[in-house]
Amino acid sequence: MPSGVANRKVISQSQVTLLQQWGYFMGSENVTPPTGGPSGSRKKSSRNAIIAIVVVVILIAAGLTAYELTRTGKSSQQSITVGTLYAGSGSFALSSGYQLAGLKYWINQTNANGGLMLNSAGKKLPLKLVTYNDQSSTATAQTEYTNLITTNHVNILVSDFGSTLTAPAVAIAQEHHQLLFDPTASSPGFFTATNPYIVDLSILVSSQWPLVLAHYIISQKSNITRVAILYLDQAFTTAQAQTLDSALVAAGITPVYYQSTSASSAAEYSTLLQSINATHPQAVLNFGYDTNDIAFFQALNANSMHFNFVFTIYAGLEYAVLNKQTPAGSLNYTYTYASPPDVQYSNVNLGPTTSSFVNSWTSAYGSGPNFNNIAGYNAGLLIGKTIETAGSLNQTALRQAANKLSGNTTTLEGPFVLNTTSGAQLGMPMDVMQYQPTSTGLRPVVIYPTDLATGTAVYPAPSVALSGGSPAAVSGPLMQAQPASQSFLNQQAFTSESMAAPVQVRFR
Amino acid sequence: MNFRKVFLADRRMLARDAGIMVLPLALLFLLGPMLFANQGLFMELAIYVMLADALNIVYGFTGYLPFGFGVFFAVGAYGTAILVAFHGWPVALAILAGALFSALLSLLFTPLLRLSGAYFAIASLAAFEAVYLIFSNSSLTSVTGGPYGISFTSVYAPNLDYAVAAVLAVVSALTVLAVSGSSFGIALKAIREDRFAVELAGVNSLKYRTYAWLISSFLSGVAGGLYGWYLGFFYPEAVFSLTDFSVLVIVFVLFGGRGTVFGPLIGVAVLFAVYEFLTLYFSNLVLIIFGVLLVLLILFIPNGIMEQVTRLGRLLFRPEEGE
Repeated sequence: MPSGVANRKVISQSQVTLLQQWGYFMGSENVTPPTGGPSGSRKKSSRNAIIAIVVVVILIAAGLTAYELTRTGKSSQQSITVGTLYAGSGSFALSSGYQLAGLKYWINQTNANGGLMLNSAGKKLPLKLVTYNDQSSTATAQTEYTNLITTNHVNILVSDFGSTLTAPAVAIAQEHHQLLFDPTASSPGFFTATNPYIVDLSILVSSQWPLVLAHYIISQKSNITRVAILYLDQAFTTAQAQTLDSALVAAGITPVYYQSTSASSAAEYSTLLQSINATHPQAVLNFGYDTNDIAFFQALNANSMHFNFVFTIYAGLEYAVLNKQTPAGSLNYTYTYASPPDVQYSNVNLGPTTSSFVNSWTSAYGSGPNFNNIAGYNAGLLIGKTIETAGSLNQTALRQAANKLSGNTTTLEGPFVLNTTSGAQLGMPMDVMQYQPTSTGLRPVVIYPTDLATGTAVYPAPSVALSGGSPAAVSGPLMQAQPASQSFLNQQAFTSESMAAPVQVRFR
Repeated sequence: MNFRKVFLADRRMLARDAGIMVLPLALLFLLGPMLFANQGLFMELAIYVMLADALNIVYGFTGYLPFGFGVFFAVGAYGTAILVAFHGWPVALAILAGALFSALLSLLFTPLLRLSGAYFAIASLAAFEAVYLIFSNSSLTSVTGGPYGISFTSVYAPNLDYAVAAVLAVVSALTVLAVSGSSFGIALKAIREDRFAVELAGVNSLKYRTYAWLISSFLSGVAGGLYGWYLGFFYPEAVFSLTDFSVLVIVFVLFGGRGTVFGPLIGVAVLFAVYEFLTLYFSNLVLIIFGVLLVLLILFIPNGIMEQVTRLGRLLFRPEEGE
């Protein structure tokens, strides 16, 4: 820069020295060791002053943030603070939002009734909800769970949806001796005898989900011997795939296709489906989350493929979403887990029956709830009952109260049965159903176990033009489920013990 | 060792800058958790300081941007977790070994250094994905925990972990200062400015870049080990997070000023605080606000805020030159 060169002639030696120092400070290549000088100290002081100003500004900003966080975090003594996270974006946004909606519904309902009775306070206290958005990021969730405990001082800590976003909370909750109420995380790795600060409220441990399904497929051995299993490489889905695989192998049915994947798009599933199709399977089971199931069905449609038996998890758990976001007719004859609201519990002793909850939810929101809505609400119901039973917000007392409820409580989601040592959920079984098209829409028909069945499966599934599929609406409730389904599990050969091989995968 | 040959910068100046660097960091890590009870925030800050310093060495000084930089972080976390959970190693030794695994992995990836620009960035991203798929593969469950993740909560000690992380964050910052003031650092910067000119001068640029790559991966591995220890239980995606441990770190370094000693530290301190604040209080808008903020920063201060500080210095000390 010519002008700069000209100016350089008139500046003082001390200024040159200072600029050299600045160059060094900036990491410039032109590093010339400073020589100092008689007039350098004033300039050095000025430079240091700027650095000090920058540092002070940063510290003030951090301090103000800290103050703000602390100030807003102070909880009222006149309420019970419930803290949870939700995923406002990212891969868990849909399911997390549904769970939170269910929990909020319970909180609003409880507050409308005057709050929760807390014996230690001698009165009913309103519930106050504190939430943070973890954006489906475990790193963000880690910070925010800590924030809920240490800054917001929540009385009740509820984890976000699923195992991935619950994992960061497990160790933190244990470290702070705060009971973690877990609505939908089912990884067996969370539940150990050494950690009394977690309790699984609304979902069966994932390795147990496919027990009924496995027994059903084996019972159909005369028709189904070529099974293809595709599963997402996450704990929730892998545990199910391994349990199923092991059970089938033990019964003499070795899957012709058994593959994990991280696929998330229809294009990726298309490639996988081509490979599956080449094995000529009689049954195709896809274990994934909602977004995976949507991509799976889109790929099926795009490739005009048809299989006699297709099973996915989320066809049942989030029927409305799947039905809306997959090509018309995709769910025809699809098998899935039977769970509320498709399975309805009328013989409950805590909260509303499934049907009355569905009705009140529908009148409030205009459309029916899905499984994760119910799981969130169910978690709230059990939290409320746990608090009332404990009579205080002491975290150890809360866990003991949850244990007391185990085995003698049935809610709209089924029997609440805890492993009272580890906190894992053993109730709320997952039966098998199939969506069968009728003139009025898809009808979810529970097909197994037989004592609870509301119909029989249509196998092989008729090949129909998917684009001309049946109407979308689900027609009516299907079955009146009883806790008997749990006893069914106990009577079967396929207990978790007998399937030790897949279940024993290393969780710790 | 001849100090003057290794460190071209004046010793007093190095010592003073070290003081300027250590004091605020020490205060922040010491007083932060007292002001604000959520120690987790400061733990993450320490981790990001280490990652930003590590990235600064390879990206800031040599100009090579590894988009899949987070792979070394993840391998450090996994190395530590596997050794503790499955082989019963003490945590300190496991963290060190985990960092060495990261350095070994970086050696395996040294052929990537023969690429440059976008090709290098994309190749490093592919390496990241490949390693992620290996670690999360269910066939390797007995070795890595696979998709079930890995747990070593038996040694969970967040307070000790934080103290170690805070000290090592300061050490990593001092490492960058030392590199910057050394003949090695000057060589790296020369490579960044004109690799071919440096090679024509007889300098083996690949050797220097490999050294930088090794130091950077080792530091990332240490950060990963500490973070894994802090989590206690993690799934593959928790540490193989491209957004959290690659993209965000790149943004921090760019914002502060890559290739500078203080820039990445200021970048982490300011942007991390902004990011966390937005996440906690404007969570629905965080991605929009942060995105717009980054666009503005790149448009108006592409070389980072340290450049603005320098300009301010020039205005104060050389007003006659003006702008």
